[in-house]
Amino acid sequence: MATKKRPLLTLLRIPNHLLGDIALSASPRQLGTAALVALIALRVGIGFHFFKEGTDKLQTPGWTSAGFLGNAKGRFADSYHNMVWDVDGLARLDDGETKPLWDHFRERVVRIYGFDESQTKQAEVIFKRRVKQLETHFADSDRDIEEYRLGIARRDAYRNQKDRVQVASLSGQLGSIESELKSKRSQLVGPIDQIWQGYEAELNALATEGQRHRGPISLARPGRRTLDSRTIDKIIPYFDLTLGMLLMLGLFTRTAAVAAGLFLCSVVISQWPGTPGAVPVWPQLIEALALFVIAATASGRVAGVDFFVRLFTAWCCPAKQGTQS
Amino acid sequence: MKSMTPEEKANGKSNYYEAVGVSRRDMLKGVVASSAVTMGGLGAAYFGYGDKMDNPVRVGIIGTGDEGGVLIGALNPNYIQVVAISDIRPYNVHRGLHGDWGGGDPNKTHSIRTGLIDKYGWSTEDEARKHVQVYEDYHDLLANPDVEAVIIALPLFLHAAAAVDAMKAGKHVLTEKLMAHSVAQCKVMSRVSEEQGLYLTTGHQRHYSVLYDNAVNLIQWGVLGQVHHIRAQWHRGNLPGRDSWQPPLPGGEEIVSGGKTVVEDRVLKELRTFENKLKNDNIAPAEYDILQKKIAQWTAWNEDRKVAAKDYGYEDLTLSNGRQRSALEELCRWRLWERTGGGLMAELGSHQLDAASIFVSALHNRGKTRKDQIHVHPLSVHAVGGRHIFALDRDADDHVYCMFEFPAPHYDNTFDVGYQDKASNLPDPKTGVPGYKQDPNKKIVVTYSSINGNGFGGYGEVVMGSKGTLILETEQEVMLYRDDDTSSKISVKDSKSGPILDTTASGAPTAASSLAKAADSGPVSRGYTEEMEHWAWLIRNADPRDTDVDAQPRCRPDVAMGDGIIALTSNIAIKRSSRGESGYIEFKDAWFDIHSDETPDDSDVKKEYEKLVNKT
Repeated sequence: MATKKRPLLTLLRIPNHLLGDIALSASPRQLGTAALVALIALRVGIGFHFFKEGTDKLQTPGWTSAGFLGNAKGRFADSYHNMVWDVDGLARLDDGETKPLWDHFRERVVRIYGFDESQTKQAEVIFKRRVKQLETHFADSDRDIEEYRLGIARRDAYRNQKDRVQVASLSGQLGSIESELKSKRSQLVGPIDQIWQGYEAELNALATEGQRHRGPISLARPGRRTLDSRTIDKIIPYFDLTLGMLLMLGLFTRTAAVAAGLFLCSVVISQWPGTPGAVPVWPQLIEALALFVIAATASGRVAGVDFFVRLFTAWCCPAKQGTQS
Repeated sequence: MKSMTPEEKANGKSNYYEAVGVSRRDMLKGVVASSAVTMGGLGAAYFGYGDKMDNPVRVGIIGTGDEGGVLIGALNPNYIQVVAISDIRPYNVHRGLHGDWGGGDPNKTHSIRTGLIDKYGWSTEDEARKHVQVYEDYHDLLANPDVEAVIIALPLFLHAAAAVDAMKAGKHVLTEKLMAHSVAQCKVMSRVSEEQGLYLTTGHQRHYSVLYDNAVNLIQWGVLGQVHHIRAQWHRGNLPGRDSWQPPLPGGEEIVSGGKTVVEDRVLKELRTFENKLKNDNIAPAEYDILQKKIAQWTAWNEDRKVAAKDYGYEDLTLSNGRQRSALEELCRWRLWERTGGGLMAELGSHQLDAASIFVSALHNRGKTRKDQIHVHPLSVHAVGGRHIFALDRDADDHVYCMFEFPAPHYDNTFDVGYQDKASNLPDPKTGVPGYKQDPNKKIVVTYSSINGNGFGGYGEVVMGSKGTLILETEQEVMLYRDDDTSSKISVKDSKSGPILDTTASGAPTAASSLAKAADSGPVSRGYTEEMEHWAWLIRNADPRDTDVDAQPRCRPDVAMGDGIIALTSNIAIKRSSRGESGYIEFKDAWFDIHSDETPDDSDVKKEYEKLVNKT
């Protein structure tokens, strides 16, 4: 096989021992102009898509990955489901967990913002009012909450019965029991979420213009785990946004394209193809494949910042000849 | 059930859905989620569970008439491969293959009785017959070694013989209800299934309905409090001259017209009408297709006149009103006579008494593990009935009224019955509310009426408790009311809680609500699909000799026999009261024991065993 020049250096350099003889880095200059234009359009188009997804998520208050994770289907569904924070809402429905967290939050807010006496008092009033709201909700829904807990216990018991899981129609029944529980949960937990969010926002809003730079201070939620949907919710919008910008600019194109492609693959896997009831994921799959094309052709080096990156790296640390074969 | 305004019904439904977990807005969607899911096997996959068996059970269907056709329509080809059918009527064979195109809405009828050709996606009858052996005599079907298991949907009096023959041939059995024609037959079938180590299950589909499963859970959770009465009914709009148990007789029958006795052949008459219609040039294409299908079906029906019913155990008889009944008529209208059928209690009552037993058992089984659960049977029955509107051409009553006493469960002191009488220390804070074992006054009476008439009230069950009422209607709708109040919705939020929703947070969808998924619409599965899939799954994945509850079908022999005993004993009680005797019978535990020879109906287990098993 004719030795082709490897890219001298990009920040995305896959170690050679992984690549072997694959001519990953054929210069895009070997492609015709039309192909180059198409590649650049593809890169910028996908970049814009990611950028837009990121900004949309940032502009949607309360956007969460929980829906995506919770609706995963097929082979790896359980892993996705387990990432949803407090998936059954049981931590939020446990009113014993609330007060200590709220108390702690109020203390932090007062301390960090450096509230004066009147602000501290206001914070206390808000705290009491919100506690009352929460108590009222719990009192109103105690019967429903009790039935919901029993429903969860029933669901868990059914999940352990082989026939109920393996016989198609019986697992269909379990499916409907599960989705009924989901909507029951939204009735019960929805208002609680609103109260928590409200309490958090109200206390933060007490800060004066001068104090505000120390915030916003976030209220810890019950039942958190290391990598749950609440953490993911914070990362994903910026992840999308950053990858989008990199792709549009053609900067670190390979890293960005591979990362974006793998991310889309995780979406594809969450709706395991062939699982009846799974959402079709053709667009995501094809977009991922396109991203791998972008990565393979290093298209950022044409009409992209990577061109300069390449020049720079070639200048500062030139690759030694012969090390790549 | 009782006449309620649409608003009242809607309240009850929303209450039920709030209790099981569906918002009022999603009520309709929620109700039907189960079935859309069940029918398409969608839900199975929805949650990533298995929906397929590698090796479907090779099944023969014995009897492909009205009920056999419904089972074919409900079966899942991933679980059951029909390799043979048998029926002595050409009409039923035709319907088994092509489905049913009769009724006021042929497309709807066909969606229920789909027929094997459409079920398995075969293109023609010839192609179907390459996959399915068609027999007249079920004995030939049983001799087919390719058949592993059989579904029996024959007239009641043949259930036991066919089931025993099948099990002797090494085939698992799913028989339609009632389990058998006599209690002795039920016991023989149960014993043969034990001896042979084969599955024997009976088609009381409520054991597999998700609505009843939900109801059982609500009852166990104490939503209804102390259950003190169950009312069940099945009122059919069925009047003389248009009796659904008296379908047209192939070959015609004598009727009185204008004072003269003439022979009327309705099947042939309808066939000719269809044929004439088809000749009409202006016929719409859709109607044209259906007419062709109807003509084929009615032609097969007309062939029934040649069936040698006498060769298959049917008999000629002079009826009480003097009319001559042919063996063919006995075959076509078997539900009307005691020799072949079991009347309203067997056909309809058994299902609902089954439901009542499920509810009462649910209370007794509160907090018990699956293995320790019991199937409760009644203590006694009082019954009356009679042929109040139909002619004396039948044994089957058109009105039956039964009252069953069931033992009430014990409610411990943690159970909230929703009342407190401090003067009488009721419930006792230490011991709770005693059950029948502690206090023989504690019973749950189940009243049941089955009426052929104007059909008012429809069919369903009402479960009344000290804290609420649960209404199950036509196996499709469930309504829940607190106490006797049908005018208000439960779970009404405290008005003080109004400001809860008025927070500074935005109105964005919360995590929980974005998880909720809207369900599709469609009727609730009544349980046929579940019952057949579970049976097939057990055949492949469990051992019939394993008595563990997880290895047994839900309507296993003792459960099915319990339902049979209730229906058959009620029939005896009705007969007694018709003779002017007491229509009261106490149920004995020994009747419900497969290994005891005692029966309520004078049927002799030993004799039946000799007859059915040893053929002597």
